[in-house]
Amino acid sequence: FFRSNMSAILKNLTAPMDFEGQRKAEMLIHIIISTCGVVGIVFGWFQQEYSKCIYTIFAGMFLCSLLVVPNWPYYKGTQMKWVDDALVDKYWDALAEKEDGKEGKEEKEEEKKKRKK
Amino acid sequence: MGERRMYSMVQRLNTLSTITVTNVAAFTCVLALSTFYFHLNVDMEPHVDVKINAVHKFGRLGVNRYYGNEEAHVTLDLDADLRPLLHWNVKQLFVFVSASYTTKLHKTSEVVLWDFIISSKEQAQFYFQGVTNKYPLVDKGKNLRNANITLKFHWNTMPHSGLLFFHSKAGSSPMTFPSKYIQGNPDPVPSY
Repeated sequence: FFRSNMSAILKNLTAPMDFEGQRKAEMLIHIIISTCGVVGIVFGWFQQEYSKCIYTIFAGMFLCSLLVVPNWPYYKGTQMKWVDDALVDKYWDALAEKEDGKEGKEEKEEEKKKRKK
Repeated sequence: MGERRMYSMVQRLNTLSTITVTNVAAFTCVLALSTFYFHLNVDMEPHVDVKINAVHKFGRLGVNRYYGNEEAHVTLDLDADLRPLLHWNVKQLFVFVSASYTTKLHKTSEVVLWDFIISSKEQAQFYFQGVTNKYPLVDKGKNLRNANITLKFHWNTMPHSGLLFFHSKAGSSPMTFPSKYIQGNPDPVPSY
């Protein structure tokens, strides 16, 4: 029971995000890392060690990787409507016919020129 | 072939790491600009005094000792407190002691006798007496006898990011070299 549940959860978390979710995720990254940087600079200034600043930025990156990289339900909201497969096939078939028609005309013109020569 | 997607978790991780490294670069620029605050507002004068303790070997180099250049081995007295120079943008302080003198042939000669690298506050304060020099005082010619020698203390500030600075300070007591050669023992062990 637990194993089947776990694999379902993992599949859910590794699935791709939609556009709104991507926007939220990148805003979150920017906010967290800039504040970590500012806090780190102030922290490092009072101890006179720049390495503390770098360590806080890396801690922020680790925190972000937990919050942003897996596909949490927070990032799923807007319903993405994908076009039906049948419609897409129809579209591509129509395009192919148009190109075939054009190529057919070009071949007829070339054949006419050759006959003239 | 495996399934390929345009946007995936790995790309999110890539975005995250790029933004992190860009922020680190931006804050390092802030660090580099903050050095000017130290040079304008904080007093950065170190307390330094260097002098020659004794000349314990003095002679000429080479196989035929008449034609060789003169060489001297000296011991130094170093008294330095360099903690005002260290701030958060200093990676290392490269510090060296040089002897400068005037001869008939050359107007000024400067020879480096001793150097040291300082990375932390514990290393920045030292008081050595009778340290033998790392590099002997070798003259281009034979003009060291009765020469008036002043020791100078130089420091080279190497930052984590930004400009490098190079300053020096003269020692307090110049010394006249002896007029005769000294045979001398092998170099004593340095005390640092």
